[in-house]
Amino acid sequence: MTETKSPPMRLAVPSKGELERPTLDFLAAAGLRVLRPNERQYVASIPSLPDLSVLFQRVPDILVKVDEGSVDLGITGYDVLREQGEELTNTVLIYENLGFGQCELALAVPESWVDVSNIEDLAELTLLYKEKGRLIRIATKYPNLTKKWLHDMSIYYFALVEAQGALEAAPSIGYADMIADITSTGTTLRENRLKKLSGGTILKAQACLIGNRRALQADQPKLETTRVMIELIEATLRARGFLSLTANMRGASPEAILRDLLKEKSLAGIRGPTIARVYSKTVVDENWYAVTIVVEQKTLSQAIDHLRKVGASDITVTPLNYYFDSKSWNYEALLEKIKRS
Amino acid sequence: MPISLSSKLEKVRGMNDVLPEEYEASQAIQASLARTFKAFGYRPLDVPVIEHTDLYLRKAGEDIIARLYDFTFQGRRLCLRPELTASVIRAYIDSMQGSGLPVRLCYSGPVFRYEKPQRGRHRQFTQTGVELIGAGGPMADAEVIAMACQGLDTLGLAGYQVVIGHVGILARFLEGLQLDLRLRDFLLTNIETIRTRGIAAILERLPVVFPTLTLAELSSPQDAFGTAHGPALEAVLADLDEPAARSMVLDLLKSMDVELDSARSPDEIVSRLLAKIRRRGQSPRLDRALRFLSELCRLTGEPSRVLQEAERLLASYTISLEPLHQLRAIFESLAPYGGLDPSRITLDLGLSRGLQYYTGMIFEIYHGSPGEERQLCGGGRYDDLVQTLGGRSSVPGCGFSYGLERIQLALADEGRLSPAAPPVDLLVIPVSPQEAGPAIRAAQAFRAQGLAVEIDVRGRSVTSNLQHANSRRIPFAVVIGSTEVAAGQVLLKTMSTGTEQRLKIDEAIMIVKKN
Repeated sequence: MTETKSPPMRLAVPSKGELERPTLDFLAAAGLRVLRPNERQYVASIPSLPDLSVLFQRVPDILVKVDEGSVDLGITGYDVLREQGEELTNTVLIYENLGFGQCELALAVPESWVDVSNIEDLAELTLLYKEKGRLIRIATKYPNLTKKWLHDMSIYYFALVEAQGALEAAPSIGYADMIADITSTGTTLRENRLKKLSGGTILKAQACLIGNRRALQADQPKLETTRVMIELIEATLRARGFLSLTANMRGASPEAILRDLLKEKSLAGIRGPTIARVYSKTVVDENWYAVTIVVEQKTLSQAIDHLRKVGASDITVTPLNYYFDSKSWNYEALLEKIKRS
Repeated sequence: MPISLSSKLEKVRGMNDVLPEEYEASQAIQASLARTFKAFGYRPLDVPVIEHTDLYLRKAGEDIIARLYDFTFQGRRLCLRPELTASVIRAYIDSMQGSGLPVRLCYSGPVFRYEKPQRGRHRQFTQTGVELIGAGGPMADAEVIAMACQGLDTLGLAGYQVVIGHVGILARFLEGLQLDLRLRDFLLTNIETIRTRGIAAILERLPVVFPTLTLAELSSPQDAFGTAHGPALEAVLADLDEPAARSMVLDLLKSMDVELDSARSPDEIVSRLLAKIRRRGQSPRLDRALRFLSELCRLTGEPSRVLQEAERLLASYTISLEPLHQLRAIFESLAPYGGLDPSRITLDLGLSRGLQYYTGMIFEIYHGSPGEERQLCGGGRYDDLVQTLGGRSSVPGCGFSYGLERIQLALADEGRLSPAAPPVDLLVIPVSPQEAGPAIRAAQAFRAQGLAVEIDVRGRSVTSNLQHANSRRIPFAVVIGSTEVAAGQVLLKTMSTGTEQRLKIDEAIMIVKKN
């Protein structure tokens, strides 16, 4: 085979806006620190993945660029993917929940609609409007998701007003009756005299990683780079919420220590403790052992109590950077998704 | 490793190319159907592919609305037509209201629905159908049913089944029950679910669509106000008369500093709140509706037997028997058409069809073995549609439409698609560029006699031209070289036998035409 030089692999990340900082922090935490020569430049690199170049793009453009193949991978909002992506069959979802950029798309109506508190009320209202020859107008930046969700709820008679910018003002200005919008907090809604409808959450989303199906199918080196990224991301996310504990224990033998530790099985590590001989620097005859276990963050104090009860001292706790499983499940899932049918 | 990011443009998902062979077959089917329509006095018309979305929001029914290609263009909300009846009725209202009734119209054209593409179902497909506007009564109903069958018979399709129903029964029942508007709509659109998956499926879906509705006790856990003091407040309001309750609520809202300044008037809001409080306790009615629905859905089979059973059921619910009388009269009117085998007609009183504009008789035609039936045709009576779409007066109507591609599949399944005749009768071959002129003149002479003639425009050798004629199954070739030009003749080759004759062009035309 002749050496054909593949075009460089490209990852698009959000530029400006709410997702930029969290994305860079997230990548750094996964060991994929983005090196950007200066803030004004739109091309950057990740030293730990030298074959990959990073492009800063506006969030709405990232999905389009991934789908057309001008970039291979992208980090964007899952809400954007669901809104725009139904017919973009070249795009494959690689990692759904990256653990940041959480948001919620929800329906909100004027506070003054005291007769409307849930989705059922809204449904009836659409019929009453229809009888009078009107349609309830809903302002949204997410027309596809909103329409589909309302249809799923058997609500069909409404008009969507597609708008950008501050939608919360739409009902009071008068170009819409209600809104379907991203609500990170309820404050903006209250300030604009709107209230969320009970049962009116259309989608909960966070940042996700997407890729171009054909690039991943056709180009082994790109798929390999993607695998490395997935592995690091998966292990980083999995490590969150776990702590590694190391303690010194005196005992007759490793087995005797194990017996004590296993009295509380749930606090004896994921698969079981590691027990290793410690060579005491003062008293040669004493049998000291180092015990290492990994526990969930929320069980930390119970784990400490348990260790103390069975005679442990010098307990140190460190967070995990990565937690790799026997294989990357998200990578396996990706291979399945890009399999040619 | 080679990179194959090809720049080939894909066709839009769910859309389909119709290649010549398939297209010719489809044209032949349409022509045959058009002859049947013409035999009944229906005149063809064409209507736009793009319409105002509002046309379908008025009456199309939920399953159509959810599948609309619906978009805003230059500030107007438009869509690709999902069916043709609404457009035809709109056209009637626009331009034909003055003409004498009835008006008989037929049409054929593409429609668009955004749904999951699968075999035999594309997002663009062709509907061919008729509307009989301005005639109520069983004779009109029978005419469209009979014509729908005759169209298929003429095509030679054998194994189809006609299912007839009547939406009036359910409509009357639900009207009498005084169910909440939305619950009624929900039940109407979900009858198909009851038929195929039973009441249990509906009970599963109800809480999703009506989260506050509990079947055991409809009085919802969440009160009308959605507040902690709601229940007490509701109890107080329920005891007051209308004006007192109204002013109390208005006062209350003012004291709570709720600004009633949205697009909806305070009156409207308060009225609905009060209506909501007073409308508790739908649960027994819903139970009754579901029980009736499941009984109705069991009424299917041989018409006269079903009619008898239906009489008993309707009587026990004290529903008017009028729809059954109508159906009986329709069956009587169908009989004299002849050729309609009674064994292929089923009466199915649970039949609902998605389109909500139907008001009376409805019918569907299916093809294929049980479990794999494909719907070929659907139609019915729509006596409100003209007025709903803005007609001057109430004009009854009925009609049906076929899914053309499905008829084609059904005919193919039965092996009834007639093999296409060779599309070209003759290939004219100039031996060298010098004979191009005489060759073109010869080709024109054959064409003038109604023959389909290809001429070689690529300057190929005679041998490869003859191979071309064979591979395309063109039955004759005419070779024109300098000898033929000099003699004022052509060389006619009959491809099946290999016979070659030098002839005057008129003689050659005679032979080719005789073929």
